[in-house]
Amino acid sequence: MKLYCLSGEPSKPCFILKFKTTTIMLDSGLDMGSLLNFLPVPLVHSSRLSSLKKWKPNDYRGSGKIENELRACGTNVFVDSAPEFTLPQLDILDLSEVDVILLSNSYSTLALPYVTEYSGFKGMIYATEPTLQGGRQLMEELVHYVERMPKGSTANVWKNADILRCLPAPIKDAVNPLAWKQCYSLHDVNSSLAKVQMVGFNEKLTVFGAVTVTASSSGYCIGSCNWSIQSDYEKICYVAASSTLTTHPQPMEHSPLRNSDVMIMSQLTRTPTVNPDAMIGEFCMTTALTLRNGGNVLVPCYPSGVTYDLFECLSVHMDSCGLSQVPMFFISPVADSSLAYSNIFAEWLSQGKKSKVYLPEAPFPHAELVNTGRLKHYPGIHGPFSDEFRSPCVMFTGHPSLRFGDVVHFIELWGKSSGNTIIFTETDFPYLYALAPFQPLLMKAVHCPIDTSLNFGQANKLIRDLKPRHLVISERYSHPPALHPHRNDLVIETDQKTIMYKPGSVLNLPIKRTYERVEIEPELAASLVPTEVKPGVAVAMVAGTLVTKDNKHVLKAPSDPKSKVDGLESGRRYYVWGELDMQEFVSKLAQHGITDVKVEDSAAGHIVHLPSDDTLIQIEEGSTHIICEGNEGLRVRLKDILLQCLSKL
Amino acid sequence: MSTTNHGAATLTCPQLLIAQKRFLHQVPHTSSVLDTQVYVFAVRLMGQLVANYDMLQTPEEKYIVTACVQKATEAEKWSEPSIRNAVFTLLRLMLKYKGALDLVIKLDAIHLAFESLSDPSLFVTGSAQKLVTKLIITSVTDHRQSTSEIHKSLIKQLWVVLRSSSDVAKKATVLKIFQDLFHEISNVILEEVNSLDFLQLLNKMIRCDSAVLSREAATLCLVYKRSNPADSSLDLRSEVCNLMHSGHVHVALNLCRQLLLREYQHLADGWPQDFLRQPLIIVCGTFINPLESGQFAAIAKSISKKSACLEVTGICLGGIEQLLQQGKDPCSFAALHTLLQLTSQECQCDVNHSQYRKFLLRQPKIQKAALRCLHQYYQLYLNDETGIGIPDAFVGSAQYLVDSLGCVDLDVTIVSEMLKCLLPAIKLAICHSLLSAEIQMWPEVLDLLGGTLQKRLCDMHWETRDSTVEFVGKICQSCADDTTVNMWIRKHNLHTLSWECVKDGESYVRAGALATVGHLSRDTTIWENMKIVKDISQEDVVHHILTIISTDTEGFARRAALDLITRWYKDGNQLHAQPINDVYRTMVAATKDFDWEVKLGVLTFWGNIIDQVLSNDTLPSYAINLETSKKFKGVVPEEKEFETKVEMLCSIGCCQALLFSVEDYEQSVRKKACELLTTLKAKCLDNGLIQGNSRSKSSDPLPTCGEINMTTPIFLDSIQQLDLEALLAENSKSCDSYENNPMDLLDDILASQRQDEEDNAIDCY
Repeated sequence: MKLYCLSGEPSKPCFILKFKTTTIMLDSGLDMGSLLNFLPVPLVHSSRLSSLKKWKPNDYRGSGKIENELRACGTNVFVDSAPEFTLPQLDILDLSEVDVILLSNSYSTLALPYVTEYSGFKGMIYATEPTLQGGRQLMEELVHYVERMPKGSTANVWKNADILRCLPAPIKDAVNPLAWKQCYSLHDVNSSLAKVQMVGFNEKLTVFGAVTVTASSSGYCIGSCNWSIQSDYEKICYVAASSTLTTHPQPMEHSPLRNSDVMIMSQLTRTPTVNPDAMIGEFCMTTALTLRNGGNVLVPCYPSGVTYDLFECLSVHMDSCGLSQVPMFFISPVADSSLAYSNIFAEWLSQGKKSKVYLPEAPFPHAELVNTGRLKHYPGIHGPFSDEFRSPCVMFTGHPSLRFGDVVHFIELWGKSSGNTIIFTETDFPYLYALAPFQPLLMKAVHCPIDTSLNFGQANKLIRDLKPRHLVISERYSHPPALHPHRNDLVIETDQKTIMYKPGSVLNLPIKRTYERVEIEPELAASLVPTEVKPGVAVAMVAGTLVTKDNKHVLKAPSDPKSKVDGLESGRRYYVWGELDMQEFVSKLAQHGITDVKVEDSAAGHIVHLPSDDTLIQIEEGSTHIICEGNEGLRVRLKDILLQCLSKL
Repeated sequence: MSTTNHGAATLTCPQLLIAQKRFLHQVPHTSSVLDTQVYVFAVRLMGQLVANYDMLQTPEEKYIVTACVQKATEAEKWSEPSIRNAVFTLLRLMLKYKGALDLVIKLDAIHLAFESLSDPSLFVTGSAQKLVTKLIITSVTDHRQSTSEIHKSLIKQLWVVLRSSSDVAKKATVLKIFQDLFHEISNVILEEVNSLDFLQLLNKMIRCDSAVLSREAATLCLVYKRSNPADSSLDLRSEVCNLMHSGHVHVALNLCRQLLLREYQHLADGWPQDFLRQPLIIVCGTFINPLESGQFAAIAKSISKKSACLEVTGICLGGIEQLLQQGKDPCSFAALHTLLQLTSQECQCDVNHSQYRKFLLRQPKIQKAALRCLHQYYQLYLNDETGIGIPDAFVGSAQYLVDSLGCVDLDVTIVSEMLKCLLPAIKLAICHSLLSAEIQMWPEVLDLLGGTLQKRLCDMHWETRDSTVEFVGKICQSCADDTTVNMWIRKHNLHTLSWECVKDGESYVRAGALATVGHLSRDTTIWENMKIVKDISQEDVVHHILTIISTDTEGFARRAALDLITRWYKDGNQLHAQPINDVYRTMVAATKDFDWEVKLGVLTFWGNIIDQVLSNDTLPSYAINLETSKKFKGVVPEEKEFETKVEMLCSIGCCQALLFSVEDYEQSVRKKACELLTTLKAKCLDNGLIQGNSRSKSSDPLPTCGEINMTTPIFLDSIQQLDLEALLAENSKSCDSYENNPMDLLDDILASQRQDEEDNAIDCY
């Protein structure tokens, strides 16, 4: 059993599990950290960005033309090109061998088109409906933002190792930029997602009959799940982004994950030192403070997940602070469908939200906010938005990387005033580096990272509860974060056997497959004559033909009756069993003329002494030794007498 | 007004007394149909009578008492705690009359009281305890009674309970009885109980497992010592030391804490505060080697567990707070500062090494107690006139407060305590000239505080927004004269954000913000800057406040807005050239408010107007723009001057509002309106606008509030019609008088009981 770890970022997981005869891909996360090395793509022409100074290393003597590829903003250097993404290491193995892809949440789907398109992939993809729809919205938004303002040229010269090492940090630390890829197309997205088969929680799905896969709620976002992959005698659990906090999704289910042979754990919180509740409080306070001072608030966000919670908490807080009249805008190409879908996925929501449907009310208050005009959503800043826009306001828009999307426009618009605030809630990007190409910026920047996935304390508690025999985690979780080197509480600490992985690792999972389930054909089963060997346990000899199809084993009666006779009669062996009755044995010996018999009890059984034959018989559980000084005839006789005293099968 | 006075006044009415007796006479004979609550009422009524009137004078009265009590002690009724409580209270009150002790014995009340010493109801236990105490004291002091020796038997019974009962609650109550008795008759007790035995028993009880018994025994020790200071067999200091060494640190500290109470202070000459400080020193790790002193080692050992550590630290802080309240400095400011750091998650300094940090971290009770002490310390230094200065850790403590205040998930009560501390801290900093830029850290501290307060003014919890906006108001009220503070308020927009809080969604915050706006408006620099920053005029401000008075859904906010307008008028300097007619119109409309306190506030506003109009020779500043004021400015002949003033009051709606309020449903509003009208009427009489004896018999209704521009003649006619003296007398009756004159209530109760047989099922729907 092998586990291939394709992703370098534990929060964007991508594994391949080879188990029994199947090859299963677990998640398909896309690391978008590479985006930060690129210049933002403004919606309207930005003279500031286009006038940034071109940059090239001082001592560069190479042949490639680098002049138009890099631009400097302050001390940072950015690539002036279409943005590129870091893919999982898909070249480790042949993707056409992948039988099934299991997706656990919408954020872990973004690399899917790279996996399924043009790769020879012909397997199945399983995901819950909200994961599919959420993933689709995220991908469509991404494609829309990237394709809306296409960059004319592609920069590749800077990726040359000679140049790369001359660049300033952090761009010089970029890992294997030659492997970075540009964004997929909408066609690829549709083609890829068309292969997804929707599943429900706790629905059992067989993969070629070899294993059964089951999704169970992980409590992280709508439709997010953890997977258990089970054969008849082995169980592997994949715990992806999970949350034990009470938010809008269905709560996390623990029982399907208990007592596994291997538990693969990923996507723990990236902000282990902060409490999400406190951060939501900080977010609301900062927003209210900015609005009271007459400023605007910009929230770079994804069109899903925490954003819905932010709408809810913020609207309540704004009411409470007397700011009900301040509008909230949500701008995304998928804003409409995102808001609509969230309110129709009632079955995937927490009990509190689910019960609202029966009132009947919309599960999320943003439906009401939209109806009352407090939350206004638009696909973009053009068109009707400009009629409704007024200031001060709260603006939710993408993309959180600040490299494309409408957010770029609003930073350009509001960045010059210290009265405005940009609040970062998403944790995918370091906010200071995200802001770097916009410097100098007067607008206040506040970091309120809200990551509801498991923190280390919760993860350790969960591991204690689930009791896996082996735990597989990223080696990053084994030591404190770099910024908090003394926080020894920010690690996974467990008594379970733990296997660490690094990006690109191929792990041999220590599972010994001992048993396999075999079904017996009814006809053959009827012919068996079981013998009870102890109360409740009966055994029988069986001979048949083992037929294996779709990883299912069936023992059938031999098709040739002759061979059946041969099998049962000519080749028949008898098995003796049972406990030796010493009285019977002594009387049998007497019957065979051996009357001088002395029996002693020993610690392990009995010792039978035949003084006249100078022979000792040591009888112990499971073994008998006859010590007869080379008298082979006597030994065989004694053996036969002893076997007569045992039961036969 | 006290109930007793009114009760006495009521009893002077013979008719009422007769009625009450008649009712009480009926009660025992009305048999079981009466509800238990009627018995409770009857016994309480009797108690009230007995408090002022000897009910044992005649056989008939004695019979009423006996019958009522006997009826009440029947099993069914006696099971009701309020009956037991009322009977014990009645008997205790009765004991001041001759023959009462005999009656109590006859009614077997001693037995009942002893049984109730561990009653499940604390009220019953308390009244039984007081009855037993009173019985003993009466028996000792009142020799008129034939049973004056009863105290000996009672003391012996109590002593038996104390020695041999297994009922902890009962023993605790007996200890309380002894505490009361030692105050009054310690010599008598010591005649019956051997003092050595007594002290030995107390010593044992102090060390018992029951916290309540231990506490009461310790208190009794102090009471004993106070009553018998010469008794050398009880040395309190040794006792405290012994308790500490035997691991009863919390008992010892509680004893020390009690010794700080005023009544016991003379028993100890300062040593209790040394003891109280010791645990704090250990917890803070400032004590280098605990093994140096056995006592310190004993304390350290006893607080090795979390619960014990928290309990001892809590007692210790309570004691320190007591000392500080008495103006004494227990010299533990630095330790207190360290303790606060230990409780704070944000603090990552040297305190991390303390082994007690894990116990104390984010413990709200300890945090609050420590903050209260810190507040007391600041007050102490603030009131210090000896000029001893402030401790070295002062700046650090202020820094701690500001740092911690920034923590997002802080409990709202802790935020409030921190803000309470910060106010005297800033005052202290001003007093000691620490705010200037030359003093290290302070500018940074103030900057950080400014940013934090900004956020707290927009906090998720309204309680925090409320306490923060109040804090800003207080700072402005007391420190705005200081240039640095004044600039600091403006730099961090605390004035504009406070103004924004007037629009808050929570009424308490709006009310707090309105009070703060009042303080802000007193400082011209801040106020003018606020208006410039927010781009609003004074007229806008007043209009917004008037809107709150007219439309706010919460009375609390409307009252605060009203107070602000009233204060501005009283100060007379904020409403120049303002929409004065809008103010009057709003005030007239507010006369009809649903909230009686708002209406009272409106009357206070009109009261101020009347005072200013009638008392000043010159026109008040706020009236300059009024049309009627033109008449006042020399155009009118002198003899007509008063009439013009009244005319002006009529024209602004003041007079009609007063007349409307005279008929308000709320008594206090009617009373206030009557008082104002009486003053006005008297002035009108003095100035000859109305005739003294010419009260018209007209039965015309009083004008309604909706009527505007009431003419002066109508008003004068109206007040002449009104018998204001009678109205005032009627409206001045306290509601207590109804409570003490329960005839109507009695009739209702008895009437309802008589209707039992009738079909009195009423369909309420």
